[in-house]
Amino acid sequence: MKIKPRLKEELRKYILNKLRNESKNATLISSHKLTKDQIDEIKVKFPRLKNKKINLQTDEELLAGFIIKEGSKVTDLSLKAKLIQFKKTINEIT
Amino acid sequence: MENLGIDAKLLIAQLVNFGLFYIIFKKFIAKPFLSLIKEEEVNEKKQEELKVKLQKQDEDLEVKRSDFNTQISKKEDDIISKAKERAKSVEAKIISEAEEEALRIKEKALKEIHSEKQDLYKQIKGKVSSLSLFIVNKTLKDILTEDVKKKITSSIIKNLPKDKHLYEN
Repeated sequence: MKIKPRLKEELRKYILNKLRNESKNATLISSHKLTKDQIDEIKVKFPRLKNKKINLQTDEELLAGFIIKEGSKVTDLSLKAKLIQFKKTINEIT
Repeated sequence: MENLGIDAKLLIAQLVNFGLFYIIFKKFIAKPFLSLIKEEEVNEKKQEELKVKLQKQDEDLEVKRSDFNTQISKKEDDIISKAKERAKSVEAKIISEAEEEALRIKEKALKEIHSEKQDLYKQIKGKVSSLSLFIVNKTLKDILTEDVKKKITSSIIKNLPKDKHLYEN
């Protein structure tokens, strides 16, 4: 199937724009509202977040900890993820 | 002679007649008859010889037939014994093949049972771990207060090395 050049160009622009926006933004999802100190400490541990606009979200399902989303990249440091990892380990061991 | 009632002329004529009759009888009747009788005798002799010959041939044939019957009987016994041996070997082969097949089926069934057992074990294991995780999740949701959550998050952040990439998905 041949894609029309105009459509192709539009799609390229859209993707580039999305990537540019994604590279400027990051989402921090936590089980509770994070304090400023905690956010600063996270920025220290993840220096690449320093120049990005951080959107804060809460999700009680995480139990504790947080998730960092940068575009398609996800860093999961939640207690829920630990439990899932623990379940996988149990399944692998037994 | 006339007084005796014998007519000489008649006597002579009778004698001539008898002579003529004798000659004609001997030449045209007795000879062919004799030759016919002789021929019959010869034929009878030949028939007798032929009969004897046929009897002998019959006897020979009887002997041959008896020999042939014996040979046939032997061959029959031979064929039957060979057929029995062959049947025995075929029977043994069929039994051995059936045993092999049964063994193969048994092994396959055992493998299937083992595989199903393993699958079931995996399923149970998965369900148990899922249930455990669900219970832990539920319990943690119930017992974790905001303060504890903050403490855990702080602990996670504190224990992270700088610019950690290991947790990235």
